[in-house]
Amino acid sequence: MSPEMSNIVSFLIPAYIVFWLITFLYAFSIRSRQKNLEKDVETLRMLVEKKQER
Amino acid sequence: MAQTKTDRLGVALIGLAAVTIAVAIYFAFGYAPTADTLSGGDMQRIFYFHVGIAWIAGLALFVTFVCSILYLWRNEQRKYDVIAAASAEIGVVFGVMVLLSGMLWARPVWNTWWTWDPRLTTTAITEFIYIAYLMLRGALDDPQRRARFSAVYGIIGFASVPITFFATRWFNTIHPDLFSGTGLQPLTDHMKPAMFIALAAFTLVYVALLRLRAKVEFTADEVAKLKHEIINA
Repeated sequence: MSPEMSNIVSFLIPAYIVFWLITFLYAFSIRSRQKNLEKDVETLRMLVEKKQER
Repeated sequence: MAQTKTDRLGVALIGLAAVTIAVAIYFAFGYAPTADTLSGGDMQRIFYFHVGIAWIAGLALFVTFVCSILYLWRNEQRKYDVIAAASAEIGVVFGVMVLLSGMLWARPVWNTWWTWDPRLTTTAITEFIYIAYLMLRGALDDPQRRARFSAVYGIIGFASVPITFFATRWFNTIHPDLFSGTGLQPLTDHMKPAMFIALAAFTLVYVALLRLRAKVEFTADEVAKLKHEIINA
């Protein structure tokens, strides 16, 4: 493998992979936080309704 | 109905960002020519994304700065605090990517992963300043106090961003300067479209992420409000 090709495999491709990996992980973490909060909202709304019924 | 419309906008934004990123990758690898040896040959192709990521990190911290000012100026409206916080977090994530992509370029071209060059050092300092901003937000329980303190910090902390940007002109540095063209081959006519498409693609990614992240903050507000309702019922 030529040094130029070796650099592409060792550094250029990993650089792009790092970008995609971090972006997807971050977007996934936002989505997961949002889902957890939506579940909390649902549970809390039910609790508020129950309290109001009493 | 409004919710459906908003979600459609979100999906459209993410789709558009993904398509533009794909086009940017094509331009970086298939359209832009190989740079000269000084710029790293094919390794220079990292620059299209590295500069795009750095642009987003800077833009995100600028938005935090502007929203921090607006929060203090416009009667402490919650929306400005939400956008400032969301944007700072995106700025920190993209800041990590700037440092990593820079290191991956530096290793084969400078023969080192890291050097205490003024641009690299100021970038790292900026990153730590905004990590501290997020830690400050996490440490304060009272929402109003948190928003006020963070707004002041967001304004003062932003001073590090122009220092980082101008570090390549104000100090002796080996970091290439895209604008003055020192340290790398000037962008040719075939390189410029690749650079500008990457900038546009990353801007779309930023807008899509900001929208999602701000929504998390607003939902957290709703949770806090409902908890308050239950306690005081």
